[in-house]
Amino acid sequence: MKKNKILFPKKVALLLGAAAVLLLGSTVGSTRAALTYYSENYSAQMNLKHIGVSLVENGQVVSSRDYVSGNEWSGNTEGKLLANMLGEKEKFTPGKQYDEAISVTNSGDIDTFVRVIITKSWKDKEGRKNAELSPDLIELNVPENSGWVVAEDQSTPERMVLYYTKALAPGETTPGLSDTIRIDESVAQQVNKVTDGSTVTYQYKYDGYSFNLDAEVDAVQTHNAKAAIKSAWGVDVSVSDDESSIGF
Amino acid sequence: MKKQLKKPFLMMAVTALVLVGTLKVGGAMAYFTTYSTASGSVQMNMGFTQTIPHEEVDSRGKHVSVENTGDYDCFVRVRAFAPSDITLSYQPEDSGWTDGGDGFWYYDQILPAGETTATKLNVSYTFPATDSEDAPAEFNVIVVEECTPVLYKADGTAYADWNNVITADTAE
Repeated sequence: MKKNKILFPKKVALLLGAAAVLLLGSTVGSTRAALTYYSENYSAQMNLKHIGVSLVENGQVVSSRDYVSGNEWSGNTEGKLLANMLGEKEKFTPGKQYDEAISVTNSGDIDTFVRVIITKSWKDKEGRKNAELSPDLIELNVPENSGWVVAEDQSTPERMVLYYTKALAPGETTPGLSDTIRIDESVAQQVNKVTDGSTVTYQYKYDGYSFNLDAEVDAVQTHNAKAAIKSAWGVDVSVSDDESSIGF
Repeated sequence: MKKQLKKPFLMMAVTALVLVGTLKVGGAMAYFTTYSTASGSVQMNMGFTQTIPHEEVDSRGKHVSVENTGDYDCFVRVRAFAPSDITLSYQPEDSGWTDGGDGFWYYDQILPAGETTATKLNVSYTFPATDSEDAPAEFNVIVVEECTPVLYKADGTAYADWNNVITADTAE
């Protein structure tokens, strides 16, 4: 009897017991999570859930990244924007509105929350980034009541962060976070005067400059969304009880 | 003996706790996420805006039209100058020109690049009601034509900024 007391001291037994309880708890938790996630399809197809997201410009998918299996992903993650903004032989006109409807499609098979980060910038004729022209002159119009919300505290004149506040079902596409793009006409009002005989002409100061638009779409699972969004995007959101919408 | 047996057990217990803790941390970070990007740029090849006035001269005066030879749609306006004893009057051929009240007559439509005004502006001149022999044998009527590229407001409405004009003139 004395030997048994030596082999299982109280403190050690307590620690082992705590470890066993924690281990059991984590196992039950994982099992429960697995059941929640894979309950319907698991027995029938043995499939993992696939997350996917596509960036859409004027109704055309320009980039996407969809999970396949293992480390395999499908899609082209570096798409091209503004490629069809101008018609054939059409010259760019400052101040004119051009169609630029950017939206997001859930190309996976689980519900997701999505956000888009838009970055605007200028380059000079040599392709160098130009800070003389303000990114504010690149006006991407964001319609109201589209379900997209601009996170003002995360945005700057150069960078705009927009969250779609509703969960996006598989195959569903958001309304456009934008509808048009225009360059403030003041760009065309900065001219250099050139006199040739009786003819006076004005050359545009920023002729040959380029405006750039970068868009990044991020998607995250809706399950346990508050923690998932905090982990993936580093922001705090409130999530509705049915995990169908988020708020700030 | 008691100490020798207790130490390995304690270490095993602590190790077990650490391992369990590791399991929990790993589980907490397993979220489904994905992303995609796209970018693009447009070069502002704004070219230039240029217009050329054309005029036909006959006994009734000058008949002015304007051709847009530049890259951009523009607005155009015309006025004429003559010696002070000669009175000028303007009359649109059909319609399409409006007196701006500032000495200029404005073409009502946007003049697209590569096109010429659909109607002409007639500029006629009359001498003072005195002996016609006093009329000068030769005089100049200078037609000044100006254009400015079409600008657009945020709502898409086209407008002209006449503070930035391109000027050309003719004299005969």
